[in-house]
This record gives sequence, C-alpha cells and structure tokens, in this order.
Amino acid sequence: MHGSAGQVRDRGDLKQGLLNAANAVAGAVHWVLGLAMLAIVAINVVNATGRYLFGVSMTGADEVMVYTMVWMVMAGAVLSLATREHISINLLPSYATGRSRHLLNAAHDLAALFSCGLATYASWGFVTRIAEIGPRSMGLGLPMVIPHAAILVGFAALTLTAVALLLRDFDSWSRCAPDTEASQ
Amino acid sequence: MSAVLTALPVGLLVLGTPIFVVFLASVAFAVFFLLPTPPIALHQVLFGGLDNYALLAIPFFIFAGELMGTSGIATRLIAWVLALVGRVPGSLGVATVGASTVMGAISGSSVAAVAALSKTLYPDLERSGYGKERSAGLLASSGAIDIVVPPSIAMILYGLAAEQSIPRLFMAGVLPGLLIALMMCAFVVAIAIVLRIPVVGRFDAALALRATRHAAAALFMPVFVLGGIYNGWFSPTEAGGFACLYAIIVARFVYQTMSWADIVRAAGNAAMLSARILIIVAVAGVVTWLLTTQGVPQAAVALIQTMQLDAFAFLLSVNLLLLVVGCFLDPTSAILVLAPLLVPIAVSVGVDPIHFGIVMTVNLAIGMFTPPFGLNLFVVQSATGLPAHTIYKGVLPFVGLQLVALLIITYVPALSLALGQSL
Repeated sequence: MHGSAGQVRDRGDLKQGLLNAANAVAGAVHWVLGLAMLAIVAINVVNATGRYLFGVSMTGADEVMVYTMVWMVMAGAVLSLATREHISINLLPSYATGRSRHLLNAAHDLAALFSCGLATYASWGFVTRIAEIGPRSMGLGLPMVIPHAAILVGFAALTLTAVALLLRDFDSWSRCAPDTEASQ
Repeated sequence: MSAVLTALPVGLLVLGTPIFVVFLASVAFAVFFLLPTPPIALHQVLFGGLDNYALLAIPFFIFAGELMGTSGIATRLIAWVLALVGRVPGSLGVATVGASTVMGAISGSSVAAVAALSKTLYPDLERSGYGKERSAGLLASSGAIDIVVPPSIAMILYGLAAEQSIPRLFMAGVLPGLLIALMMCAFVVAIAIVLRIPVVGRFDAALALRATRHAAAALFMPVFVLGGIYNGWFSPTEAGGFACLYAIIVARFVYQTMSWADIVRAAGNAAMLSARILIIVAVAGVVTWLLTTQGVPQAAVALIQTMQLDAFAFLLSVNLLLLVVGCFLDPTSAILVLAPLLVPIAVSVGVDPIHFGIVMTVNLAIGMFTPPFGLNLFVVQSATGLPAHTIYKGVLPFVGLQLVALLIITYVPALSLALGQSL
C-alpha cells in the first residue's frame, strides 16, 4: 500500500516538476519575445530617422527586422498553443465540461499534431536542401537557412507541444480530472 | 476533393480548433493526399507569407495598443471624452463610443480597445441605467469603429492581399469610421432619452480643460502618427514603430506609469498577440495559394461575369456573403482568404478597389460582434463575466444600426473615396 501511495506521490511530484519547468520556460520565452519586440522597434525608428534626417540607412535593417519577426511568430505560436491561447471560435469548448472538455481538447491536439507534423516534414525537405545550396540574403549576406529554419523549428516545436498536450488530455480524460486542468 | 476541403475546416472550426490549425490541416491534407504538388511548396508559401516588411506594422500597432491599455493612456482618453460630453443625455454611452474612436486612431486593434473599455466602463454603464445587455452590446459593438478608423490592421492586410495603397485605405476609412461613430452616438442618446438615463455630470469648462491637459500627450499620438504618414515623413510600417516609441516615452517619462520591466512585459504580450495573428496570415497565404493554383478565383470571376451582375447587385451579394463569413471567421483570416478572390471580380464590375476595401472592412468589423462567434463578444464576456446569451441580446440593436451604416458606405462610394483622391 505504502509503495503504491509513494509511486502516486512520486508521479504527482514529477508532473508538478514538469509543469513548473514548463512555466519557467514559458516565462523566459515571453521575456525574450518582449526584448526582441523592443529591438525591432528600435531598429525601425533609428533606420527611418537616419534615412529621413541624415540620408543614411542601415544595410540589412529590413532583413533583421523581418527575420526576427518570423522567429518571434513561430516562438509565440508555440507558446500560444501550449497555453491554448490561439485565436479560435471557442463557443463549443466554453460550454463543454468534464470529460467532454478533455475530449474536445484532445481533438484539437490531434488536428494540430497532424497538420504541424506534415508542415514539419515539408519544411525539413526545404531547409535541408537550402542548407546544401547555401544561398545568402541580399543585404546582410546572412545564410538563408537561418530565417527558413524558423519555420522548421517552429512547426517541429508545435508538433511536440501537440504531442505533450494530447498525452496530458488523455491522462486527464481517463482520470475524469476537473476542467481547470485543461487550461493549466 | 471539394467535399473534404469544405467539411474538414467547417468541422474543425465548430469544434473550436485554433484557426491556424483549421487552415493548415485543410491545406496539408490537400497537398499531401490530393494534389500532385511537392510538399516543399508548403514551406515556401508559409515562409513567403511572413517574409514581408509591411507586416511589421501589425506587431508595432498592437504594441502601441498594449502600451495604451497598460500605461493609463486609455483611462485618460476615456476621462477626456467624458469631460467633453458630460452634458449630453447618455453621456457615458457617448463617451464609450468616443473613446473607442480615439483609441482606434491610436492602436488599430479592436480587441485591445474593447478589453480596455469593458474593464473601465462596464460597471459604470450598468449602474447608470443601461443594464447588462445594453452595456455589453454597446461595448462589443463600439470596437467595430477601431477596425474602420485608421490605422487599421484589417486595412493593412487588405492592402497587402489586394495590392492597394495602405495610406489611401487609411484615408478612405476616416469618413466611414466617423459615420458609424456618429450613428452610434445618436442611437445611444436616443436610448438615454427614452429610458430616462440620468446625465452623469454637467459640462464643466475647468474640468474639460484639466482632462484635456492630462490627456494631451495621448491625444497628440494619432496626430503624430497619421500626420507623419500623410506628410511623407514615414511609411505606415515605420509609423507603427514611431507610435510605439511615442507611447513608451509618454508611459515612462510623461505619465510615469510604467517601469522598464512593465514595458518589456507589455512588449512580450504584444509579441504573443501578434504571433497569434501572423501565424494565421502565414497559413491563410497557403490557402490563397492553393485556391489560386486550382483556378478558383478565375472560375469565380467567370461565374460572376456569366451572371452579368452590375456593381449594385455585386456589392449586395458580397455584403451578404461577408456578413455570414464575418460571423464565423475573424477579419484577419477572412480578408486574407477572400480579398484575393473578390477584388478581381469587384474591379471587373467597376467597383473601386479602395472603396471595396472599406466595404470589406466594415462588413468584417460588424462580424467582430455578430453572434455567435464574433471575437469581441468573447472579449466582453471575459472582461465582464456576463453569460453569452445576455451579450448576444445586447448586441442585436447595434448590429441592425451598423448594417444601416454599411448600406450607406456601400452605396455612397464618395464617402470612402473623397478624402483619398488627393493622395
């Protein structure tokens, strides 16, 4: 009996530890996204001011801003999937309670897993090819594999996030866990 | 194929699946299982959808809106409008519409404005006699003005999707936005008179002057941003960056309401919201690419041409289509998917693409608060805690009112085109 209770407690501790780690990572990503946003605002303002007032513009400023934005979008999309904050028509989920809520979430996870998994596969094909050819950007001479990799890394992370959410939703569903767990 | 590509997204949408997943699942299914297209094309179109300098305006204006909400700029704007309309019957309702219009001229994000107004004004609106339903309806519907008044994220997306001038679209949105605001103010005043809602305060010149002084820095923001665009100092995208810089200076040094940590946090929130919108932009680009490679726009143009619709009938059909679409899809997705399909048809029947952009924007702005799925309904629900059916009942009169405004905007093109002709 004690062994079984201990195992359950260990499992609970492990889950809580994973949840805490995930929250810490999410907080760090949120902070980095904020700094990246401030950086592109600063580049934009300095570049526009330099161009209009002094007739000087930074080489490759547009590239830096756009490629940073691409990475920001993919990182933010992963975090939003993990926290279930993506834009959706959430009328049905808002009325679903108990096990049906977990089942509905699992359906979303499956759709995300399928679509993001296929996008990762498609992206892998492109990024490996572009890595071999080695084209560079026109302004900064940046290897184009860097901005393109945002799509691959982003969709791979979205796929992994969908797997983690799916496992958790099936676990919650099988335990008849309260709905609040779905949004943690 | 068309049955699968219709049933799959509709089913996923109704289940509440994230919209970007709805689009991506449909497209990925088509690319991998139905079409002879190489899968790497999916990556190219996804990346191409984001690799666009003009799109930077979206995170910039969202960040400006986030700073406006968290720094107290929004509260000062509300207090300013209230001080100016204190003597008018229904002054609190009129202040809601006025504040929404001014906020629209700063941020371009309807959701940000509705969230700020709902948190600040809902308790007072309800207490002062508007009741739960009407207060919620007013708050949700006033957000539509933000989408039409420049700068507007919906118009930036339309400009990109339909290859139209964004400054001209911004200028074209001024009069329609003011028309909607004026009609809503008149409606609110009429309600206040009929229900005998007491006037919140009387007009006090000293109070109005004080409120103007307090809000002056915030009020100068739209003048600076829009003035900069139309004087040729900066492009709409650069204007977004300057709007953020201006809001940071006001929040940090003028009002001193935000620390640097608060500003980074607000920037992070804006980045997150931008990511949720821009991932839809990327995936919607793939939907459009798929439809285009399958010849759907060309087939639609040919179909309309065989029906020999004139501009009047075409605009009526488009309005009906967009109102239905707007109830189920957010404006970002709807504009990105439909603009490339509808603009060639509009041009072929003699409708000006700038005017058509305003008609589309107003339609989808109405969709933002049309039951059952309008995004602003959920924003009001989360801010006020009201049940969905109460909000649904409350918005219906405002849906009717804005439909009248839509008809005027649709059939009086001069309203949209008069200001932009000089550009």
